[in-house]
Amino acid sequence: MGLRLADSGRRTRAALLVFAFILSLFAGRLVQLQGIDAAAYAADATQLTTVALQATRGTIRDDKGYPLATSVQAVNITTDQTLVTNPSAEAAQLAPLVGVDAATLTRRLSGTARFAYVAKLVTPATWKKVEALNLAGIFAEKTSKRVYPAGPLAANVIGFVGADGSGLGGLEYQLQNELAGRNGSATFDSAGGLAIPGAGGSTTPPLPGADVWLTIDRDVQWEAQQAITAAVHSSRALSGTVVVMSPGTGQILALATAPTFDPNNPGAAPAADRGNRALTEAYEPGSTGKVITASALLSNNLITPQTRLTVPNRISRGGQSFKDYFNHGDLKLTYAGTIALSSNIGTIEAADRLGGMTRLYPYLRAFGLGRPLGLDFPGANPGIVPPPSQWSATTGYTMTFGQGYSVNAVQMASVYATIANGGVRVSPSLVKQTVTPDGVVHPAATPARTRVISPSVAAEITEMLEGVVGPGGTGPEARIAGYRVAGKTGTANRYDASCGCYRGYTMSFIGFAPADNPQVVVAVTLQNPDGGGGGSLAGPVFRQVMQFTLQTEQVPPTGAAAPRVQIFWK
Amino acid sequence: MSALPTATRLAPACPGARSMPHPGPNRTELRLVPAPRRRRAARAPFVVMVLGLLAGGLVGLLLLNTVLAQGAFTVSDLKKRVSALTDQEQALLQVVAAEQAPQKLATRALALGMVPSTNPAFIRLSDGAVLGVPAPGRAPKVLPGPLSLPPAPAPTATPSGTPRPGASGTATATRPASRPSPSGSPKPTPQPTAGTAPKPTVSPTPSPRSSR
Repeated sequence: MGLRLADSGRRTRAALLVFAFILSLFAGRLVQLQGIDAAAYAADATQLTTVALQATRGTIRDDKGYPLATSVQAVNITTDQTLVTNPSAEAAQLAPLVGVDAATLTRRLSGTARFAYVAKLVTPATWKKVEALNLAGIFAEKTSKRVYPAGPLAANVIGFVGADGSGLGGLEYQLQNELAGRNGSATFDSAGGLAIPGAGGSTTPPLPGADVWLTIDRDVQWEAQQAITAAVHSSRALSGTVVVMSPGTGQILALATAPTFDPNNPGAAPAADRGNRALTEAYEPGSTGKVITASALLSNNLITPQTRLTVPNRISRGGQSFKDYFNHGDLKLTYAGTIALSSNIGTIEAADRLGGMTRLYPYLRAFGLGRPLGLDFPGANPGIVPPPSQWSATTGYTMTFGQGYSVNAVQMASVYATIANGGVRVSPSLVKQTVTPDGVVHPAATPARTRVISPSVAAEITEMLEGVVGPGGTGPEARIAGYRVAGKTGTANRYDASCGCYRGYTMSFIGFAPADNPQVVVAVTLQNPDGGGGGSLAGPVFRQVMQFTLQTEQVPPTGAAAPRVQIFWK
Repeated sequence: MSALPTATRLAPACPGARSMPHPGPNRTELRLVPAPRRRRAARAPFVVMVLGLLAGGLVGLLLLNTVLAQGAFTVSDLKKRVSALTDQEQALLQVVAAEQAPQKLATRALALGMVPSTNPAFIRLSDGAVLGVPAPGRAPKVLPGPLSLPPAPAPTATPSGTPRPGASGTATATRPASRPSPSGSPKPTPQPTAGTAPKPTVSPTPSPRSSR
């Protein structure tokens, strides 16, 4: 049966069918072009320009928001050496602008490389001047530069970045993911560098990094850095650290180390000065560790501060003779007196009441020694507290006065913060909050709180520590007029890894104020200074930093009179 | 049921009735009527109108394109200005940040003849009581020096031509890409230096020990 075109109805339907078929071909092609193959065609188009959109690195701020590390735009000047016809002439023009001598520039411009750097991280303004010279084969690469406006201030906490702008040390390294953000890109049709209007394109916006607010107070940090730098210098010590903590919150207000470095030019400083010694260096605490022995004794009701002890000049334990830092006849000391005068022998005698020095171990651990602080700081050294199974005959006895185990300065500050906080240990923290680019504030996780000793034991230890600063104690240099100060001196034999022996001393003073309402803990440590003792060398640093912090944090004295601590008995 | 046979019966009668008209006395005569003369519309105005539309559309499109292109130039110019102003803002913010650094403030304060207060003391406003022991401030023996500032982050509003390519710990300009990081950057992985604490198994205690 043939198609009868004469029939108008059939004819219309046939035409419709043909049209529909053709149109559906068009539609199919459209879907293929715009939907399926769009990306491939977009990529093939020769006129498309893609530029990377650099994410801005987050700012690191102190607890009040002042910037400690910030990123600014910068330009890397690059060259296509094959396009440079007269390297020396171009170099001569560039030299005064980029601050590199002409000979070096000539070398960088000569050759056959299609891509090479001429000068890195110049300011955008400098690049504008270079651009205006209209030199052949000179191009720009947009980048950003990390700037530390306050230089060495808190440098050992913040760290530094490498050539690619990613963190290499300190918090810059630890918080790389939060700070870096994510780079984006823009793709567009262009003619002569201008986007063609209406031609479309695609943009993936960069995601800026989050701002990180520290618990560090820059003013306290500065004072602490000033004080410890001066003390390390004047005592010719190897190094020194100051930790300032708020006992109730565990927040670290300052973490100063000396010598330090300038993060704007970290290459100029030795690697050891770029770390944070208060966290990365473990040392034996010495007499400041006697508060842990006191905690064990007082918690078990084995002693009171008034308990009378007779302290000879030498004492033999574990086949070894122990002495005090000064020779003396038989001393009639109260237990508080052994702390105030920092008698090792008195401490061992008191610790004998534990009926086995292994009972000290749980207290060392409960105060957070021998394990990480939870700060996750790069390179942090949690120190070593050997378990009783590894002890020698004398280890338990040396541990009573802080030798035979190692700690870092922040751990030790945390021990005193625990006592200051009525026996509740609050995990130390360095980061207060992060603020994401959308302005949302993410407070740091609430620090863990654990009770280590009872409030009454903490109060008894605090009173004994006031005796250290009081009349007859070892730490009169730490006194602050009008305030009740509690603290402890430490002069420890220093373990020297280079000889595997004890050589030199670690001097320290750790304390808090006001003793009857503690608001600030300051821990000062000096490694291997010339002469002196924990009181005479670290005490003045403690006082200076504590005075400044009490003013800055506006902590008035409580007005209560310091207790009279009885050192001797008759 | 009976309607159908009736219809078939009637059907043959109808055609016959139509084919034989009955000339009646009242029938009007049919006459040929001359076709009315068709009036042709003038062609010119229409052509002019179409051409006008075309030309108008063309000019409109051209104008639109021009305006768009002009917009692109304006956008480009404004973007340049924005970036220039951003640069300037950044440079100024850097200057501010450097000027408000504690060491700078301390130096300036000392230069003005101010001295740091030594002992903290407070006045309670409610009753005027003095808390703490006030002491006169003393000029520090050592001026704030140990913490030297980096040479001010150069950029003033119109940054001078001396950039500091090395800032931010990157290789200085003399070593562009060869040294991505300062030599011996601290290993970021935590590595407790066991050496700082005595090996627990051996007795580390030299005799006799002193500690205070």
